[in-house]
Amino acid sequence: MPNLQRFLSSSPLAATSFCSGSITSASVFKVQSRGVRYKNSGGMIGGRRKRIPLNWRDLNFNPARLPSAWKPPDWDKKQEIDYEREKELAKYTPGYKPAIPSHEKDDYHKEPVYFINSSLPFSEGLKQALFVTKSVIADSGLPKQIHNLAESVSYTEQDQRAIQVIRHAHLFDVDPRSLDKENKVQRWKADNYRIVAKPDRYCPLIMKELIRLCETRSFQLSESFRNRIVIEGPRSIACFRRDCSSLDTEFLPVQDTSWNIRFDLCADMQIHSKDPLSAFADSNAVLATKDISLAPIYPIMPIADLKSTHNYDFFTNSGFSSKFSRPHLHTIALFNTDQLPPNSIYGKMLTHLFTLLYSKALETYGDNPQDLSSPLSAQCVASDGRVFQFMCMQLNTTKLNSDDGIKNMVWVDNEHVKEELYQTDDGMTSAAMYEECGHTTWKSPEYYTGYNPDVFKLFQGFWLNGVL
Amino acid sequence: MQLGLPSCARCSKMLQFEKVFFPNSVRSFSTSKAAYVKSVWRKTWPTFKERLAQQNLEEKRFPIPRKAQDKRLPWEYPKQADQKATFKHRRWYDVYYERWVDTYPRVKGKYCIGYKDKRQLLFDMETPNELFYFLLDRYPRKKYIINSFDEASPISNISYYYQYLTHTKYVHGMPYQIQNAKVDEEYMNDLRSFVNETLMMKYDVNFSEETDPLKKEQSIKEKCFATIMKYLATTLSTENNQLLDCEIDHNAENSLFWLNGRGFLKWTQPDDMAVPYQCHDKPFLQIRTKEPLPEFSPWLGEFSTTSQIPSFYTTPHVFKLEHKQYRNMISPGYKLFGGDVTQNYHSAMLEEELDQLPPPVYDPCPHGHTQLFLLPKQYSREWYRENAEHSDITGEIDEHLKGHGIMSGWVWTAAQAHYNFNWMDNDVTRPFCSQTIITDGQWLSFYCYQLNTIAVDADNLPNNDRRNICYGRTSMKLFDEITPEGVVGLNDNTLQLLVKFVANGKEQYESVVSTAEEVAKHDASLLVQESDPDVPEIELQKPTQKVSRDDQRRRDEEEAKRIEEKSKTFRERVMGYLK
Repeated sequence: MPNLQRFLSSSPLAATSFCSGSITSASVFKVQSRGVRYKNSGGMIGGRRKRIPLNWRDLNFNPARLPSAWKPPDWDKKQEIDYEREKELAKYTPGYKPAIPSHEKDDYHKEPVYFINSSLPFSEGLKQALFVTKSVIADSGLPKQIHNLAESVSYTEQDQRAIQVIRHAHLFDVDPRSLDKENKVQRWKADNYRIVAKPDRYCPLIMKELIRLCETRSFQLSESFRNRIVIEGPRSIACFRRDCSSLDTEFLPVQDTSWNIRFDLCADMQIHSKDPLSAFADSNAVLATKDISLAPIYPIMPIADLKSTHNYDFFTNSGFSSKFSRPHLHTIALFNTDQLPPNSIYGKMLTHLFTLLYSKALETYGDNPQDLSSPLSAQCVASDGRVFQFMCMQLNTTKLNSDDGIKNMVWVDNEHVKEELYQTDDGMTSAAMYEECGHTTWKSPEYYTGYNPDVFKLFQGFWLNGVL
Repeated sequence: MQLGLPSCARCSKMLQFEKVFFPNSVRSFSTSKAAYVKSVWRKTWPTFKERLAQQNLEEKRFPIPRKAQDKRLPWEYPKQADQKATFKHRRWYDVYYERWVDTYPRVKGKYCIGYKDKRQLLFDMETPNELFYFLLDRYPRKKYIINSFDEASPISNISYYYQYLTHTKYVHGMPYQIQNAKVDEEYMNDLRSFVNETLMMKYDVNFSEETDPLKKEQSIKEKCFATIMKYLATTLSTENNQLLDCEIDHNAENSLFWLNGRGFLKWTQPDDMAVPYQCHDKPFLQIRTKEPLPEFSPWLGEFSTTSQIPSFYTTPHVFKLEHKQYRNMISPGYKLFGGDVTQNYHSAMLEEELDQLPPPVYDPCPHGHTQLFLLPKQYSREWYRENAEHSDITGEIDEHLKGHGIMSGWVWTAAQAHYNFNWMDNDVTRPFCSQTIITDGQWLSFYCYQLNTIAVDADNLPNNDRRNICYGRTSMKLFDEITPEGVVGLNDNTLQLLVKFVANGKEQYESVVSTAEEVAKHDASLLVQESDPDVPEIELQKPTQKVSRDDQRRRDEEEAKRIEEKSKTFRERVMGYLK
């Protein structure tokens, strides 16, 4: 049933019906809307009452949500900014900030940039991200060294601790938002409706606690724990020019195949270390990528659904100063609080990895596009608290001018990635740590079902890569 | 969503009747030339009952199910009036055992929480859940809401007032086991460099785009202190084994509801009603462990039974505290038990598997270890100085911090005691200890709270010798300044205290404390904050920091006077004497 619901909510039919509903409820023509309170009295006796809202901030003046046919005829004319008048106002009003047309601003560029940030990911997910970052899927599944490490690092009590973390998040954690301080609902109702944990509360908690478990393990195993540090929410920017020479433009609406692209992203958590992570593939495997061509995404354009702007700064920034004592990226952790499907979350992971590695490569090797003498590698884990996704990336080249030559390499925990990505439309699958956990999971006496020990084992191996 | 019914477009209500127009052939013309169509009103549904069953729930009475109804699409399972779950009722008929079952215990005779003799019923309760039903839900009156930290509060010497509210004895200094614990030098070197690098993240890392400078600074503080605390929790797990299995809550909320004293509450009620209080406390991070912390002061020792607690003879309306009525809450930051909701019972009954219904599960880490508070983002020590708003109140800085330490320690430990099935009449049989750290990013305050009693209401207090103890050390600097070059003046004492707090546990206690006499001797040497018996008013008290500040001020004035005298000529001096 939940799957069906999700499908329904994401289908275009459901989307249109939702939009039309919201338009009728927040209309501009109807003076009174649900969220606004008006004075009951006021105005002339016997005449028509003036309806003055108590709080002007509650009114929704945003007619952008209306279809164009519903707009008042003079709306567009009223919205036009008179820039000359703005200049005059600025002349006589101290502290006035005049509106400037976009082509007169300092950061105006003739050519637009197509950008991606944490709220606007790739709509086509991994397929599109692979093409834009000039990467190929190197092998089915993750590199073997990670599986071997996961085996050697595991210990007996780890499953018990991971289960404790899950139960802590789902059964015992109190969400302050669910506490009813305005006395809105009765107790029996509150208990039934508010007892369920919300994903934006339990997902970060589970990830943070699992990471803490792995850190404790790494402290027990070796001294290199002191070389690492976990950082929350650093911001990194990568700007590059992408020239897709292999793209067949015969049937495309646009003939130009080179674009400026900008990634501006905030990772939820990432671990940095003093020593760089060892490469996943050797130089022969890197050279072999010359023969592999980028997987075609024909009906989709590489910049499909990306927003563009003319006002931007074209620079890369890894988010860390040169003085920072732990300069090398080890692993990124992403919290999938919106419960995105695996395909789009894989795309998000790849953009995060690429942004950080590319900016680091420019810092170390200079701005000239080149094949890196020693490739950079990093890992990424994402989770919505239940389903876990893993990805490894090795940045071999910063030459994004052409589709030929050496490519970047990506490993994904799914064994059948290529088939699921390019041959079927069913979407990808990933491993879940447990089936269900909650107050109503009464079929098992521990209140969780279907625990999969392999997922935490892999998570720990991933996190402890390079510690031994 | 509408249930496929004819409804009115203007008022969005179900139509009981609908207008049915006759076909065009019946149309006729009146003298005014306006065309009208012959019509008739027809019932939309054949019977009244059937129509009622198809109605949506009332929006006012059922806002949440109504919202769910609105979201649901028409082809999905509709929830009708006859399909409402039976577990919402006060009793239901159990088919399995063939009898009526109450959802909660019923009251026999008079019950009132304000008087000891009228709440004897609480001793009959079998689970904490039943207890909380009578202790909390059956008290529908207004209560005073206490903020553990409120810099704009009108109460001067607030720590004395909170001492009265929580029946706590405040002690300047740290308990014996913390004072005499030893920290490894090598470990300190590692920690120093780690803290240095963590604090330097302010300049070295580009954090997310945030326009508000206060918010940005606060989020950086949060990130730094979270990493430091997690570092301590992981690295000290070798010395303190219970940190291996500990649980960490992020952005938790602790709350406590309690009664203290008697006073006037309402014109229509007697003027000696028990006064209720509620506090909500928001620690940024808290560590919970499987085993309780060892006691700071001997449970049966003299120190936990002596000391004069400040008193206060009016209800708190004089301070204009918030006075509101809403759901009373007690929680130490985690749920009492998982599972075992009435819904499970219902679904098990439907599936005829009642004998397989599992018991509730309890949190394996119920004991509070350490909690960390970040002061609000607008907090500043500079604000207490003389400004356009107020005169110089720098003496209140430590008062506010002490009050915060006392109140949050009380709330957390007392809530744990309530989860342990204790209440005011069934007092605790062992001490509940926990530690509190309060910081604004630069200054840290450390508190150790030992809960010896929760019987602080008016009926129990006269016969109660026991006092809660709060050891505290306020305003310790972590560093002088963070510059782009590095951290200036990292304070070693503060770091050591931080380590001792997190490392506190059975192992540390056994290595430090050998006899109870040593602890008693140490406690006796500490300075206890007590009110002046001659002048018992709270606002007239002189806490130590105010005394020392006054002394300093007096010394400064005398010095200034002496310098002035020296600079005078002989004639001026003589004229001054003559005046």
